[in-house]
Amino acid sequence: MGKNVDVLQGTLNLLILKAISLGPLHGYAVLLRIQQLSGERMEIQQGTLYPALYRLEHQGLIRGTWGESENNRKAKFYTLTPAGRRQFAAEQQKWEALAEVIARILGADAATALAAEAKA
Amino acid sequence: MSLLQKMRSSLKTLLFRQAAAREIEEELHFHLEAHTADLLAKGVPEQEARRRARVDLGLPRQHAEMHRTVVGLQLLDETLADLRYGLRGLWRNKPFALTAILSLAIGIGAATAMFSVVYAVLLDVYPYADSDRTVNPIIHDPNVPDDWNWFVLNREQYAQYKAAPFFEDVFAQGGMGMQVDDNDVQQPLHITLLSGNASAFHRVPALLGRTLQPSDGDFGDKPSNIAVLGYKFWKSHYFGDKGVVGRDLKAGSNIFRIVGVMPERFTLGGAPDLYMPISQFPFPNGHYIAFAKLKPGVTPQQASAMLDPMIHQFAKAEPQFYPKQFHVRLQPLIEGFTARSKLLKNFPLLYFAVSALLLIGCGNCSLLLLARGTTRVHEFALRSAVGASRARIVRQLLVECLTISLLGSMLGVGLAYLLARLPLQLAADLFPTEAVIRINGTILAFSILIAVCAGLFFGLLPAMKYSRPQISNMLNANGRRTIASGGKGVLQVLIAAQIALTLVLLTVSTAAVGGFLRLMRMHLGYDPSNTMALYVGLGKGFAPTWAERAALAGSMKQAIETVPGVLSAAIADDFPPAGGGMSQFQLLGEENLGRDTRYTSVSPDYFKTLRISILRGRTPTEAEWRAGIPLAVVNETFVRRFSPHRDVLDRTLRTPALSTATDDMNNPQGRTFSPALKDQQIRIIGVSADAVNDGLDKTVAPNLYVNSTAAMYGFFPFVVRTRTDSHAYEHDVAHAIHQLGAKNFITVVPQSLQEMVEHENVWRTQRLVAVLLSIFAMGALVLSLVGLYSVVAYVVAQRTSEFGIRIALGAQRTGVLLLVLQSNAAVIVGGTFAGILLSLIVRSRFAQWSEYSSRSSLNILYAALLLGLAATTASLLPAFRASRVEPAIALRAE
Repeated sequence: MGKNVDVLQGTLNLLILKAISLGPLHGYAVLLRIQQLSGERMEIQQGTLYPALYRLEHQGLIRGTWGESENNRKAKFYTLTPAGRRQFAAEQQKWEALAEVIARILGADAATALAAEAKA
Repeated sequence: MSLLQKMRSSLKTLLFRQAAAREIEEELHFHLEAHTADLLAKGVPEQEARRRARVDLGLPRQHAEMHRTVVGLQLLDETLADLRYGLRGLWRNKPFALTAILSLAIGIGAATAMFSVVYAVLLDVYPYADSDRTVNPIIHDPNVPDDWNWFVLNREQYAQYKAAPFFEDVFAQGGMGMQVDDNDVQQPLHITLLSGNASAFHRVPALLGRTLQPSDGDFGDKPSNIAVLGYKFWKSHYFGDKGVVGRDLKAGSNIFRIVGVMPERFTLGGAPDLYMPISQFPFPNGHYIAFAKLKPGVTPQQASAMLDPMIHQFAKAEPQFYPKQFHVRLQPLIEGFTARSKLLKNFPLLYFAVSALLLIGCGNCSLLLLARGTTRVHEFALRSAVGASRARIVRQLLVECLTISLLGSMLGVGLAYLLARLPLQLAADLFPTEAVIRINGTILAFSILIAVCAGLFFGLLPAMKYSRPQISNMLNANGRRTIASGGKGVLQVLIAAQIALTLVLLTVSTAAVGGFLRLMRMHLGYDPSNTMALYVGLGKGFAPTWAERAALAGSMKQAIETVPGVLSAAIADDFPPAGGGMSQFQLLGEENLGRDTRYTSVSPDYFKTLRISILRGRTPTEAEWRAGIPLAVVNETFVRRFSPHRDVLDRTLRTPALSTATDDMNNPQGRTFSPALKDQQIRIIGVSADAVNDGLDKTVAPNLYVNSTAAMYGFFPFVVRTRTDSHAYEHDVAHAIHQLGAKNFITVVPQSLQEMVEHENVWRTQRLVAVLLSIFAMGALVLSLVGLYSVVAYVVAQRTSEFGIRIALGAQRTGVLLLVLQSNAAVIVGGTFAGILLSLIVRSRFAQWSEYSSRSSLNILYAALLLGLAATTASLLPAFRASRVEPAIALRAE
């Protein structure tokens, strides 16, 4: 198991939306899902999860409904709303673009830099 | 859409607060359970598993708070917390809270009430449609400035007047009297007759039933015997019975069908008892007042100029109704009130008084907030030290100030409601009959706005200053619980300003009260106490000849005088203090006729009855009176003005008042003349002292008191002096007269002469102004004293430890007393001097408005002394407490 990574600032919402986009989840399951998707390398602070959920629900991106959990307990399940789905797609695109740019910058060496300059 | 969603989410949490909190709790509960179960599965011991789950999640309460923050309710929560905190603080410090709230309430109440009265009597008086374009038919005699007269029109003239092209509409109004039987006493009924178009002219719907309609009868129609009740008459005679429409009213020998009741503010024609169609008017050649509505864009001046030739032509045909010279001056409806109102002249003074009171009230509240704020520096420092932001502290103070302001405003509204009714209760007849005084919303809002602004400004002043305090400074032992010196300067200026304003109000009110007292003690020249005036009318056709009337007058007088308790009775057709008719006359041996004197018909014992002294000559004898010898007594002013160089006694004058040609056409009972009367000549045989005969506020007019039997009407007016209060004898006197032949007499309810004095416009005005100003001044005095007291008390409380130390070090208690007094002396003295200065300015400014106020400078001095004394007392009480400080207790209090 590799080293744990911290949640990058501003990405928690995206992670939550991703987790929920795969199917309705209750709060605790969101934690577990993110943990599992990260290959157990990322652990979300429990204290920050719920405020993020409250915010997303307030913005109308997710909707909470009460249902029964795996062990027959009453739990609040979150699903993506249509607005949430659109928002998730947009955020994901933005993130991928950003990641690509950052990866290119970080991966550059002297030769590619010179080539880029000559092109300009 | 997203905004809508957010609002819905916020609202849901706001409205279903409990449900939202429970949901969060349940969700977290499930989370804890699930987490614990996972940990247990991993082999963690149960207790440890539960602990770790709780630690990982954090406090549930924090989550709930976070949720409210997320949905945007944090501000509300904090404000509510501030409010709770503020209310708790106010509750803990009840005297402070009460004083601050009451101060605002008194200021707001007085200002709102006063300005609502002004609004009701000046700006929103009439309920009639287009009342701003409606004009009174007025002519103005250039020889009598400041006076004006109505002109009346007969039917033909009315038709011509109505056709004038610049009038949109004209309606005619007439008046007549009848009697109605009310518990065996004949009450006079005032009836206003209206032309058929009057309802369409005014467009005021009836309260019950209907208004008069053209079909009810116009000029020349047969009388339809219907009546619409005036509101007051409906209330007094029918006690507001809603089933009155359709019933019959018996008045005199006629029966009228009641078809409606007019609303309270419809009082056309001086709030008459009944309205009837003009066809009911019994005199075919009668005259009417014609009110006109100008076409839009036509000014009263333009219309007057265009009407002038027409009215002069009318005057040529009927010269007895017009002065020799006149101009037409159509007068906007409201000016009928404003041009003669004496109260109006006092309005600026009253505005000033309530504005000052509002300022004092706001000032007081500010003082208290400021004093309290400066003593809370320690609290602010502490809050700031534990992390409160500056905005948070300011916001908390803001909420407190608003709470006080709003509570004060609410109380003020109640007070305004009570105060606004006072003027109408004290002196209803000083206001247009249409005026109904209500609290005006705009004015109220304005007063509250001022109060809130003052509260905020002075409440926030200390907050702005100390919300970012030098914490270490404030918290260290030496700086602890001291008054911050910066606030003190503002405090002192505020107190001084309050004292100055209060002093001005006191001088103004003592001047008004002094003026009123002077009016009460005014030398009238006659004695109105225990006297009454009453009219006895003769039934139609009864005692038509002079001889019969003269005999009847004698026996009636005798009948009244035999009533036990009656000291004397006399005939008099005018009752002081206001006079009746003027007449022209010519002293024989002199050329000019154009002289006017007040003409009063009296029997010889008039002077004895009213206690007017005879200075020279004599009054007619009983025999001369019975014989109708035309003799007269004149007053001093008459002598001074018309016969200054020649002895007036035994001079003869000639007056057209005794000519048959000028007989009043509207009096069906006619006049009969003494056989002894020759060529309208009267001989003067006595001179009386001057007695007020032209109203309390004017100089005495020349007066001719003529033997009443020289010319006799079909009614007898009496003045009667009784042993005690005249009201007690009213019934006996009426009974004595009726014994002479009840069927033939109509007795009108007597009036007391003292009450006539009190009904004088100037008397009521002066009394109203004096009462109002006294209330305002007392309010101001109490407010500023309480303000001063509480501020000194605050300061003293803050300096308790200092006084303790001083006393412990051997300071005399009187020394401490003086120390406290000294710190206020400058403020009190400064404020008083500023007040004296301001009073002098105000007096010179208001002199022309309050002409009856006492102008003595002593007033200012008295007021200053009173205020100085009161202010010293107010600061003495807490000072005294300071001097009694026990050093040990004071030091331990630290």
